[in-house]
Amino acid sequence: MGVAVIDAHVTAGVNSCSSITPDDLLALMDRQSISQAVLSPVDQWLAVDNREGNDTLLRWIRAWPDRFLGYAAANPWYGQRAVAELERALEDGLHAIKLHPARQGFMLLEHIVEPLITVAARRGIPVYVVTGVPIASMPLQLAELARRFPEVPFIMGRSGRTDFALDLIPAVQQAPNIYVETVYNLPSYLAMVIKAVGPERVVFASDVPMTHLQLEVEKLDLVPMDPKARDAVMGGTVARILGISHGGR
Amino acid sequence: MRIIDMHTHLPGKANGAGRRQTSDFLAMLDRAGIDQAVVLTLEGFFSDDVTANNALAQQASESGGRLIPFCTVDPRGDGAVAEVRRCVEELGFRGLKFHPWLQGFSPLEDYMFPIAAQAARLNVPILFHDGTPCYSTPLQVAYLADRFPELTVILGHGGLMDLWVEAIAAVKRYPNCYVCLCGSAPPAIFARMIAELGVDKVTIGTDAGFGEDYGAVFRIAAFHALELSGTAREAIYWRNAARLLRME
Repeated sequence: MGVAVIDAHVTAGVNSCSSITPDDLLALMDRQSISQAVLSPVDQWLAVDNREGNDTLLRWIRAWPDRFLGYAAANPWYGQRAVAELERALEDGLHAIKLHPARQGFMLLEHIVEPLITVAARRGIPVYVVTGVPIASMPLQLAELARRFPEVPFIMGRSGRTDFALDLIPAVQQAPNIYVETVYNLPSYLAMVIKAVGPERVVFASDVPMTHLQLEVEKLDLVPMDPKARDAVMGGTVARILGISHGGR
Repeated sequence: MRIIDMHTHLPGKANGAGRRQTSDFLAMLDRAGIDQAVVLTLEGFFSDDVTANNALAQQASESGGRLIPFCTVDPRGDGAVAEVRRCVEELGFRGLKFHPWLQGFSPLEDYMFPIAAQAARLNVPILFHDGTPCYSTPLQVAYLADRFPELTVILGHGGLMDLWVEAIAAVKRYPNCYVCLCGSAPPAIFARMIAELGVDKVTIGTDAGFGEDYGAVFRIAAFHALELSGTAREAIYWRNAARLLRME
């Protein structure tokens, strides 16, 4: 009996470059023994139709409460309305916040995002940030933001890929509240991250359906980890920062 | 199915790996199921290009025809055009490779033009790193395809994660601009690019030799997982590459 595996970032629905129904996503998860996954809003929901996205994710989570969790989204340009929408969506059952600066039209260190981070701080929940898009969102910028909000756990979405991967480890070392996701990193690089900051700072995420779930799971067999480290990476850490229980299956 | 990998690197000091034996590099290709590979330098982007080209030629000559070498030159160097000619005519190189931001130049600068003209005269393609600002965006690279209609230009990464939409635009706009799907962009983006571009202008690469060996296995497995017809897979896996490399 292994520990329950949690995928920290997947997307259902019709997105810019992918499309999958929640049922098909669950079938993929079942084939790889993934117990739970944190759903991301699609790009349009991140950028403009925040409420529609949050409500859709809530509906899917209510339909499969033991399988799906979800990131709430609100475009920071909506100001206080964004804060109110996040509060509502989190109150109704979403679990964390996702930001995508390039899609939402802001730069990560612009102050307009801070009221949204304050919501996460108040509720003690994590914030997932897509990084790697030049100018808008880069690893060292996330480290700077994370230092302004040391109580908030941040997940470094895409690990600064493509061309800011070299910034990843220095950024994570600057801010102990940043977590690295596994997707878009190959095994030896993940081993380097683990050596630099410890396995409790790495979370399994597949970004399915953009990637191939089986390959994303199998590659982790090549990362040297003791059972305790593996439990942390495969779900223990993300469960802890999301504030959910994490048991065996 | 036969695979020609259009984008691998001879590892060297530049990525801390130390120079590898040719047989070891070929064994890595075997593990990934790659039959032949275009092999590019890494060291030549930072240090003496002539030395790097000679090393590449030596290793390709030991490979029984499996490694297909592409040369690089310092485009600002006085001997750049002559070195291109030496590599192709004397050493049997089949193309050129540039990595504008590692090599510190823009493909739009004047000194690229005589090099591009020479490549066109020699009838060999130029493969560029692409997908990253500020000197390697797909349309910057494709500018050479615009200026030299006889030249074959290959976008070596297909725009990577952020500029693949621009890469589609460049490949569609210029009949002499092709793409190599290669790098950390997710398979869903590659599938979308194939769907939009059709199969005739698309090749695949793994970046093997840059980073860990498992990368080649992982990326070929991801290509195998794409839903493609047999004909499409054949075109993308090797036929288009063979045509661009004039292997037929």
